[in-house]
Amino acid sequence: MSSDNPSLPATPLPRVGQQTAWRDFLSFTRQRGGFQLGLAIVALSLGLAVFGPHIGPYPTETALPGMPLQPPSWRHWMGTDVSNMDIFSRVIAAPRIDLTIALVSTAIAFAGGVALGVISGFFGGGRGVPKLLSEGIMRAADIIQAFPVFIFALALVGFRGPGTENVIAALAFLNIPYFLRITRGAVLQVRERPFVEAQRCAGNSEWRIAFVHVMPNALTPPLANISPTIGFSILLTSGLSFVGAGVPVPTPEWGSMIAIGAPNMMTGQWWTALFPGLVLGIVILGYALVGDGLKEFLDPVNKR
Amino acid sequence: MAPILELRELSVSYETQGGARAVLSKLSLDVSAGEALGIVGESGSGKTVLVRSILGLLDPPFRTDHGTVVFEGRDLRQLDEQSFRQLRGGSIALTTPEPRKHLNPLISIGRQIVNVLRAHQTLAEQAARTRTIELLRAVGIPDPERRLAAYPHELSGGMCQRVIIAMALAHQTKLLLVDEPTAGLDVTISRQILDLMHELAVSHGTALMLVSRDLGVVAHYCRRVAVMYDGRIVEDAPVEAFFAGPAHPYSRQLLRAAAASRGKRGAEKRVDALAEPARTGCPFRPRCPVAVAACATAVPALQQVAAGRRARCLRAEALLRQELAA
Repeated sequence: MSSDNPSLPATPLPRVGQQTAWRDFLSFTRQRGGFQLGLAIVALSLGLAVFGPHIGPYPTETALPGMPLQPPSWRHWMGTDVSNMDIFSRVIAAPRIDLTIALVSTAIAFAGGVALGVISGFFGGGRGVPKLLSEGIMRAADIIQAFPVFIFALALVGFRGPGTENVIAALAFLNIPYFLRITRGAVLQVRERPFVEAQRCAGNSEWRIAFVHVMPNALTPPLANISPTIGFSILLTSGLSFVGAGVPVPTPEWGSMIAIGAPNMMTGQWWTALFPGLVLGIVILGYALVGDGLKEFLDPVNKR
Repeated sequence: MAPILELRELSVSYETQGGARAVLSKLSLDVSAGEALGIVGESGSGKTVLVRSILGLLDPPFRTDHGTVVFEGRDLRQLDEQSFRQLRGGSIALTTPEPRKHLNPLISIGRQIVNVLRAHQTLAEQAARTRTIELLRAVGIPDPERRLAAYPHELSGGMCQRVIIAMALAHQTKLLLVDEPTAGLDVTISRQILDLMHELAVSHGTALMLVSRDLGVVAHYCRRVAVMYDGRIVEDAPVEAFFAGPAHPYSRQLLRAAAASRGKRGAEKRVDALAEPARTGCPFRPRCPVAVAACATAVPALQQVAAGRRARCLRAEALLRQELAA
């Protein structure tokens, strides 16, 4: 009874390209509330980094005469601090500096970590100078990671003195080993794939194979690590500023605002430290959520 | 014709915790310019290691201990990395099984071929593109202008194999090493691929070294066949003579096993559990149905047994006279 049905419509071949990737991403996002929330927070924080200092109702670095420690009201949504400054205006202005530090330091850490990770992973099993280089990189990473992160950051900034550039340099330096290890792990897998050998047979040099052919295939894990690293960097920047080793006052920055407000909390002015801390926590949560979501989205095992 | 590739006493070993294990033992073999040589042998006989060692691509724990690989008069083992790289993908190229896995998934096939072209010659972008289209057309890929932008996952396995061939023949290839060309392709496609490869090799005067477990493929496309067992060439013969009557008991077993898998009558129905190669005397002795006492002591050399054919067996002459049954 079985017969071929000539009128059976030809199944269109699935087009795999940018369009489907985008559609995949949208449907993935639609199913995950946490990821949506994270994306919203990240988008908002990026928006504030650009416009925050200009949209607040009060100046961010000048005192309002005669208004110390006002509780939250319609005039001052988050109250004012001990130096007569409007906390809400300062809280939404803070992403400018916090995000700049986090984004720039993460970008540097990503570039450095990926490059070193490719070198150490690709040349790891070999011999001679590249092997030594690979070992040297890994041992240096071990040393950096052997120190408690915050103490080490504090030492680095203490060495160069506080200031935005120094915080960026310290964070970039500290985050390099994380990107390095993640990239190295991916490279160790990719370098065993047959196309790598095929490139060798085609007469490519080892360095070319490492950076043109292996690296792009090993980028997913470090890319997924960017978002949590940004969140972590914001936290660390605030931590450094809290102890006075980060961004100097009066630049609006969450950590230093918490530090300024902390003594007032003892005397009942809870709003001074609470609001910057709350916003800081929410923003870090947002980056963590985005990081988790991206990791899941990019993981081939979870592909439906 | 003068040999383009001469392997002399090539020995490769594999480092294990219990010491080194020989993978290739003093292997000697010639490939003449433009000829098609088939290498057959069971898994583990060292075929792939042979191909890799010619290209100088053996990584630890493999180690080349001894011997020379002379290509066009130059000993490749003495070559520095820079000059060797010029040869790979240039005068010597390799095509591999599982073609899709041998293409970079993130780069379009057009770009990959352009990269291969530019690895060995300075070529302007436009010229490289034109040449790539020519190559794709030559390997029978329809609509090559559009396929330039295709990624490996958008092509079928057969198409990917064609791309691999296009890359292998992108330059004035003198020697094409073909490793298991039929693996992972269905019968009709592998037939087309082999026809194409053979045709291109003949028209370019490229020597083919075809490594395969498929005796039928070797019979069809090669003029000469070399049989490998335990890292040695045990027989080296013209194809017609080989299939008419092998001069080594291992070759005979291979032929019968191949006949059995095609369901021929009178073929060997079953292959005994494979014994390890012997450490003394003839390595094949534990599996040999015609072994005699002398095989336990003497290691047979690869000797001329008839015009143009060599075998590594004390009883080769008797085998050739077809005196030995079973």
